[in-house]
Amino acid sequence: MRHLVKLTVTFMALLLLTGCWSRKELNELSIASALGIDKHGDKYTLSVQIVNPSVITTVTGNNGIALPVVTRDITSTETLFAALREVTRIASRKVYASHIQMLVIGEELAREGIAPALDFLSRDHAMRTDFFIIVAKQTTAENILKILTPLDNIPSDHLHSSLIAAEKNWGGTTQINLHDLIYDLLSPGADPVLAALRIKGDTRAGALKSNTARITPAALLSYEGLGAFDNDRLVSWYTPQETKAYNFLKGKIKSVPVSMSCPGGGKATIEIFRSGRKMKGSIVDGQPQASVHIKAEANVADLECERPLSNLAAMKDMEQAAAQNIEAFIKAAIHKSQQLKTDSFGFGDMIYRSRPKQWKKISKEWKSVYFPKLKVDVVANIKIGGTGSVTDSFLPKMKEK
Amino acid sequence: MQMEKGKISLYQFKVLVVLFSLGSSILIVPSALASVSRQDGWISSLFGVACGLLLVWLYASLAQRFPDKTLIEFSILILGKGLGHVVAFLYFSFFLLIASLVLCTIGDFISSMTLPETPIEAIHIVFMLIIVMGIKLGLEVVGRASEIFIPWVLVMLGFMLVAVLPLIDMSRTAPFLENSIRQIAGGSITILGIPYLELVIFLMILPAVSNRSKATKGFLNAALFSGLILTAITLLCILVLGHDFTARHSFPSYTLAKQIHIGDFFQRVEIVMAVIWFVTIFFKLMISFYAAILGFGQLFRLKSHRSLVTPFAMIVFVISLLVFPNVIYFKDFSAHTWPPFASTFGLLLPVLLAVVAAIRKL
Repeated sequence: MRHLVKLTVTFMALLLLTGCWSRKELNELSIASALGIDKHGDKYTLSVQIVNPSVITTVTGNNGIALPVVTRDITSTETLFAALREVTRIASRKVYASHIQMLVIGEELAREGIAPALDFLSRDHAMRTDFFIIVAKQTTAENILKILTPLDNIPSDHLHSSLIAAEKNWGGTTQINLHDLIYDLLSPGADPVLAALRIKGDTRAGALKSNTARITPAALLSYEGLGAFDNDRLVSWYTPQETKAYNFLKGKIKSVPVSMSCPGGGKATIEIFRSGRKMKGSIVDGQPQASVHIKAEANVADLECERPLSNLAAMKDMEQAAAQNIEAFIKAAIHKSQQLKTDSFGFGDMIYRSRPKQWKKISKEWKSVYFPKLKVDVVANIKIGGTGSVTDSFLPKMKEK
Repeated sequence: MQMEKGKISLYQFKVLVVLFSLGSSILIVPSALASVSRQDGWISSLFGVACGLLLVWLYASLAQRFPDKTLIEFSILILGKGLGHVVAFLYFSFFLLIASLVLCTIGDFISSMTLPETPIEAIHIVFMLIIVMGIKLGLEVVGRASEIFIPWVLVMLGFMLVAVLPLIDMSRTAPFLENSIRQIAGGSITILGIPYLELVIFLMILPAVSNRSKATKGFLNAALFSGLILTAITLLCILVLGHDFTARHSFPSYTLAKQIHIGDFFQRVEIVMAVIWFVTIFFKLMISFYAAILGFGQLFRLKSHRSLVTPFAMIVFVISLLVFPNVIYFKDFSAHTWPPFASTFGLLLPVLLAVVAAIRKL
């Protein structure tokens, strides 16, 4: 009898263990996959992309009526948290933001300053810092989140994987998460950048279900370089080529094609597959200086040169030409950032790390006085290893015919 | 008068010291270190560990003079009945306060990171219930439980430390030694306050250790080991999160665990890591609560301390709700108020006791 009582009590205790106090079942939540923030006047507009579970779970495809996501927007109070809760005004459930993959910032807000919007994101306990932050180029975040994508059911999924793939295989964009962004915002010797995203095509048609039913969608989302920020304000854009320079300087190059002109005319593309960089900052006679040394290994990917590439000397020439090419576009990108007076590549940080005491003297005037005339030596060392499955191109021979 | 009949082995004692030193400091220390000496926080930590070992040596040598007496008993013996009882009572209140602060820390952590809508009282009550159960079972059971839990704690900690290695950015500790010696020494005060000055509590446990001759060495080893773990965690917080993030986050080591991301499948494991905190804080609370009750019993020459457990648990529960009005107060308190306060009990009084004992040739 006593055993029976004990057993019953134990099982009753089990019942208490199954749930936690403030549990929320899946059917009480709207899972947000992306957030978009715009600012109109002094009020934020928050757009939320909410996953529609009934559509993404059907394997055989959807019935053509329901949309995979619903994007809501709310023009709201002064703070984001209030806006996020206000979404329940028009959505049926509480928005659950732990799983957001993308945060899109509208250009207007970006030009005004993004910092005030970021506090909530790093404070909220359910928020993680591993989502990517991008800035909408020439459009609003709201519009971006409305575009449906043909290849992936959930547009934010598309944006997320596309950004990873593009940084890895193309180098014309870069992944920035909340952690990186705040780090750059706080550092006196660095300015943040964010990947820029543009809508190509007709925004309105892109928001229709039919956008995914066309071979060439009416609207496409396309990553295009970076937004350059001066502190937390967007000031200009970097092209994809300048973004490659950024990735080289940050050591983020994984597998990136670099186009160049051949020593004897014509064009070639090499694929960088391994790259490292050494950066040094110093202060000589009160003037800051920096040097960048890039070492990379590459393969020939596409050879459309006039001269054949059949001997060692030609290979050396080719390596040199590649190095010069890379040096040139890195220098150009640095030059542009100097003209913008935004230290996107973090040269100030570098000098601070190697000369902390002297840095204190110049840090106040770093961006206005010292950085624009900073002398940067760029040296690239490219080793071309493989040439793919053929050595020389057939193109020169074809011309001799 | 021997109130506690249970004995624990030397190994169990060492494990208890390690768990006690990690509990709550693992959550608090990295952020406090980074806020004072920034990217050199880990050097502060090493410096603090070195000073902490001196403290431990002081405690151990004090205990060696009175091998079968607890702190409460020998302070009455050394200082005489009047002053001795006052000091003993102060120690008892110190232990009770530590217990309340520790309970508050875990409640605060759980309610701000995982269960924001659960009333903090519910968390505290559940935690206190287990403590009451543990104390009623006695020190021997607590010692054996610590033996069971330590491998889990160490494996998980080791795993966390390895899992964040790929995220390290070496440049985050540069410029090396930018901060002045004063700043670095000042930073180490936090780690001295939590946990080293609190280790004086083990003078209540030492008489129960069966192999007393090696206890001093074991005490020092355990304190060194946990100090190195704390340093490693602080260093990794700085290397992965940067000193600024570490200083600004309420619980940086939890934020560190959030960064774990191996492949696309092994992620969001931070709550598993939080188990380390739960276990270590459980033992810290257990030991401080046990010391308070044992001390009270010895102070008033009670025959058994078991009847004290439940009422004191209620008192700790109430104090824990009152000590900190909010997190900012808590951060400020543990950085500025606690170290000088704790050094009264962890440094001033032990030195006084040692000096008087030497003069009176006890």
